Amino acid sequence: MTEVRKPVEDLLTDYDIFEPEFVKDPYPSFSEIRESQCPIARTERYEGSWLPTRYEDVVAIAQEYETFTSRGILVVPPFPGQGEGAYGGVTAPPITSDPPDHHWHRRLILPVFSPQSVAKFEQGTRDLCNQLIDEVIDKGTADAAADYAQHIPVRVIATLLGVPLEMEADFTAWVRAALENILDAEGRKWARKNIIEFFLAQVADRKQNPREDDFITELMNTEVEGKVVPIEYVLGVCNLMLVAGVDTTWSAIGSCMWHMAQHPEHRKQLRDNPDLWPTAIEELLRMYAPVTMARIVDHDVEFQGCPMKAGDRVLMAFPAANRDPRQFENPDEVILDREHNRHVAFGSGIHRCAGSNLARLEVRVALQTWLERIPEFELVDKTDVTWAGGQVHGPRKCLVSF
Amino acid sequence: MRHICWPKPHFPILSARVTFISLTVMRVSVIDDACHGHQMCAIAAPEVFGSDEMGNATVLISGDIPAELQAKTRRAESNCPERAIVITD
Repeated sequence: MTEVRKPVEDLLTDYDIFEPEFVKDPYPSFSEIRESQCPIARTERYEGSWLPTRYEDVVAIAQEYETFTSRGILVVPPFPGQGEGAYGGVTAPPITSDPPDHHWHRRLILPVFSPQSVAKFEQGTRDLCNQLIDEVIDKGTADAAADYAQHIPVRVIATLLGVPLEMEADFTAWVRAALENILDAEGRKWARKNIIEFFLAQVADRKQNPREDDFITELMNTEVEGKVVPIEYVLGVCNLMLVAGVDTTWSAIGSCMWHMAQHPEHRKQLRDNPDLWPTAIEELLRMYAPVTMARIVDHDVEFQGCPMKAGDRVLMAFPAANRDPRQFENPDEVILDREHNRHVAFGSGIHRCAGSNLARLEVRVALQTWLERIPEFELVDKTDVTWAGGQVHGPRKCLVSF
Repeated sequence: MRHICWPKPHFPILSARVTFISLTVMRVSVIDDACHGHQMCAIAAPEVFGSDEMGNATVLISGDIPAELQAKTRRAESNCPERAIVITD
């Protein structure tokens, strides 16, 4: 999409999450808004939205699901015609669901992502990371984002869904169109069409050839209150797995790689004290939380002095909340053994990221495997790193040498 | 709150300078409605917290938290984004 972008006059009344500097590094803007007289900013861009930046406000909005609904989770409105046609009802449950349906939408998938369930992906993820490292280790240089991080979650999710790994490049393209390049409505439409058609074919194949121990088969055969779940739900969950499980975790892994490339002292700290890993991962997730989710205001409400109208979009800037000095000491500093860390990288309340246990497993295994085999590495050129931003923030090109 | 206190055995007469050894009893519970399964308690204190089938927190220790796990348990409390952990001591 080529357009002449109107410069941002005032962050508090005209922020633009797609502005190139914001995409690259949103944290100075978050901080400026958070510490201003008006910590919930407003913009009229992209049909308008609110941007709370303080931890307390972001968490309050996440908790108030009756006022701040999940009818829309993107900062941009649906594309024209979205929601129409044979499978127009396909969304991405439970992320797009509100109570009461949210309850069963979520309960059906949570057991798949419990810590016990995701543990079985650890060895496969490690093998995959090792394969990716095999391909670059003799070169002395690699793109930590495009050669490494990008390939990990998409293959883990494809394995979980029982769909062909050869589809990786297509999945990646669809996900980027659906979640990253969201100003391009045509691209979102294209991604949605492809995702629905792909999973319709997967469902049809399983009807012909039911599979054992298969996520989609089990989902298709699940009954709620005596009725098999609707096809829209099955397609919606598959859509969610791709859209929410790929770009997000890939961004987190990439940001962590970018950080580690610049912090030999943190690499050493983890080498000397491997017990620190679980805490360190939480700290890195706090620092580099990739996701900002939107909500739709249900009814006119005044929130912290802001006159929010029914239908308004509110962006829960979890990355901004995670650096609020009211909640975290030295918030812009990575402290791998941070003692108090109520971070909300995975959200808060009933919509806590369903895949959080899998995501943190992938981030940990990706970093551990890399650091075991390539303990010393650095950025090739600090100024030559490119970032995706908007609602998912992470590096897309990040050359490292070793 | 229950403290078991003994006066310091030295110089019992100088009671103004008495110091105490206190053994704190700690118990912990999870508010089920508040827990949304972040599992950050189990990361901070895996000996104390686990997960049910849905990924929500469970307390693995019934009764008093052993002294050597109390610091970890406090850490778990201070890492819960839902403030769902209640420590009584």
